[in-house]
Amino acid sequence: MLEMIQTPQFWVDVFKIIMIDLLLSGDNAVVIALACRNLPEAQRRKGILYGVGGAIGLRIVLTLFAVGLLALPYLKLAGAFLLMWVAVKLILPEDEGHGEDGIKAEAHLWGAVKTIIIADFVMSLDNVLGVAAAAKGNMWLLVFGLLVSIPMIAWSSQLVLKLIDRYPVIIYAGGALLGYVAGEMLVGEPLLGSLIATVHYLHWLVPVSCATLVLLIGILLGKRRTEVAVRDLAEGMVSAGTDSQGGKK
Amino acid sequence: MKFLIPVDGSPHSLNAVRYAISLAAALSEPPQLVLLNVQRSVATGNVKLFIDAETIDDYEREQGMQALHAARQVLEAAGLSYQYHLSEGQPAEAITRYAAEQGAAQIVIGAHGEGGLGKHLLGSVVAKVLEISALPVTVVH
Repeated sequence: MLEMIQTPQFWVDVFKIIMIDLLLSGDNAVVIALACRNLPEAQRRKGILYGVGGAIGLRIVLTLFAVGLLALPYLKLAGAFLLMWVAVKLILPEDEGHGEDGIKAEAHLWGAVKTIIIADFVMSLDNVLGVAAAAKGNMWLLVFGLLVSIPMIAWSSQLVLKLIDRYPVIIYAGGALLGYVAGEMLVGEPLLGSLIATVHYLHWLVPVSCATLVLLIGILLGKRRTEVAVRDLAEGMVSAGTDSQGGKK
Repeated sequence: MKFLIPVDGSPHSLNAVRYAISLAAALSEPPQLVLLNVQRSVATGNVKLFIDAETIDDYEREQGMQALHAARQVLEAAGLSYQYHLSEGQPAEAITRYAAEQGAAQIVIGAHGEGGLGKHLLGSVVAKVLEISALPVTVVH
């Protein structure tokens, strides 16, 4: 453990994991808050508590699974491609269409908890895959990544959203980082082991190529959707001396 | 004549409201004061998958009304009529667009929004508004 901490590589990996956690955990807190919105006041805190608890438990189980699965042949290959897709998706702007297909927020405690846990399952896949790839089988790093992500399940990372607003380059750097980590995972695939061992420069060439590829695809696909959407939520007029009343739109 | 005052509930945005009031009082034909709060969309792909649009809108509306509250109290204490509006989107984009839509004579905006860490990192909305708005912008400290 001690020698490990002294290598620069360890700190590079720690930094990577923090970045990945930050970039891929933004939605959880929002879903938890919104899923519990329609609960009666008394049950809301319970809903949040159970939801967060369940989501954390699920995240731990998923991480353990990911580590086991990634040890199998071919799965690193699949994991690497999946991660590159996650990276491209991160760069692409959101589709602004407001679909009506979301699940109606539950008015029952267990319904809300169920929504939170299913949502966390889906959202955790990206995060767990990214962290597992960056940890490269190192148990310490894996647990560290898990610990960093847990507070982000409970607390909204609005700051990250605002930072991205301010410095959009963060999103490209993040996408490139995920692409790079995917490339490292590819290099770690046992099937390619003999090739990588003989052609040594592939160690850095593959990750760098993957990062570049993610950026290229992200930028090309992103060009088509640059429309910044602004919507009206509510408005109202208040005349002096009367009670204020707002109209919903 | 209309003054558009973007507010987020921060002390600086309230200063902007007070300044607009004093400015309005000095004019022979008092302008209509228009408050605007912009909520960043919380509806990312994943959130939309699990939460219905109505709940998301209600949540943003609630957050927006909270952000408007202090500014509305200042105006009501001054006994003034005003208009208010909530938008969702990129703040600077939404502000300039709404100001143009309303035919505002100017935008009166606080020097920066939310305090804390964000104050140093951000202040971005004001900078962006100055950059993209065709209207005169008054920045209030």
